[in-house]
Amino acid sequence: MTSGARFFKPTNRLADSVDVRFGLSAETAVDRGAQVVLNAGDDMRKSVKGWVAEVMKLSAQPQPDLERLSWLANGVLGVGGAAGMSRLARCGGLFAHALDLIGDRWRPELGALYGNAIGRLLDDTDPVAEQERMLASLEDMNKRLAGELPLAS
Amino acid sequence: MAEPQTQGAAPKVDLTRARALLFDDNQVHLNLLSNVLTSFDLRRQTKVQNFRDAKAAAGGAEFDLILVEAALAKGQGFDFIRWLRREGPEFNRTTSVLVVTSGTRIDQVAKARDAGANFVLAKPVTPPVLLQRIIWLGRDRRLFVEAESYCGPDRRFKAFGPPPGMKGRRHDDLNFKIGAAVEPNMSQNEIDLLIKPTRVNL
Repeated sequence: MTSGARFFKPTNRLADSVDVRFGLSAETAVDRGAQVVLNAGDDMRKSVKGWVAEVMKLSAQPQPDLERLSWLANGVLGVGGAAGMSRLARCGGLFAHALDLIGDRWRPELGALYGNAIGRLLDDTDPVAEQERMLASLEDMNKRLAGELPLAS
Repeated sequence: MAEPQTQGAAPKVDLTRARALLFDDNQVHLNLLSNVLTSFDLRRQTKVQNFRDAKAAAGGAEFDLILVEAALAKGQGFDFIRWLRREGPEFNRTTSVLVVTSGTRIDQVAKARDAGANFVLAKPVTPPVLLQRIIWLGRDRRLFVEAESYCGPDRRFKAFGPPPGMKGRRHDDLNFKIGAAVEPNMSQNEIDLLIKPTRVNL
């Protein structure tokens, strides 16, 4: 049996840009990048707050736009994480995962839980340990949704 | 096949002549990636937010790096990578593709890998990790595969040989047929003597 697969060496155009003799040191590049992220922090946090408000509003609806919710949750993860809102970002990631797991079968109780959690994490008034407990419990819920843990009775 | 090096002296990069295509439907995240790349001196960028514009951009310029968001609506990101690898313009067909994903769950990583991505980057993207991945991609020496079911970089990072019972497709795959023994097995003592250091008089 012949597979017909062709293996060849591609031209890696990035090869000439790394490990160069004269250029930007990785350390300098990373410092510059960190400064860029720091400078954009306020704008990013503003966007994230807007997305969280929309998540909370949509999550309370009986049949929300799931694609939009997923986009928002993903935005909270990516932008919130970069802006240093790590626990909020983690919650966004968990919500995006939960939405993946349920597909198009919306579960209002899931929306209520995540809507509440994401709002509380944005407020950031709960003690850190409490926030961590909340995230751990959402993680467990996702595992149950994925069938990795038995369903709670 | 050698894996890209990840250790050694602090590397230097010169991305001033490189060109990147950034495909993300979230303007804020797109700007974040763009600004971080600019801080690495990678200023020649094209930013797109949908599949149609991504295809047009890939057809209009030669890119050294393509960043694609995984969670685009209706799987547009993965569709774009598959299109690029199979039907994209020759000059961009093997360009390094970095997929930015909301998680490193196996299904997401597998989807990206099977679409033909070179590497997967989990959100949130931070400058050190992004730079590290760019360096990794620059050092990547993997072969490219074009087959009926897959087009992209060789997904086998390490060569363990073909699966049992299968004929290898690589020129350096070993033949697993082992000839019959022509001598009796060595005793344990003989084996030990081959391994143990022994004092010799010179």
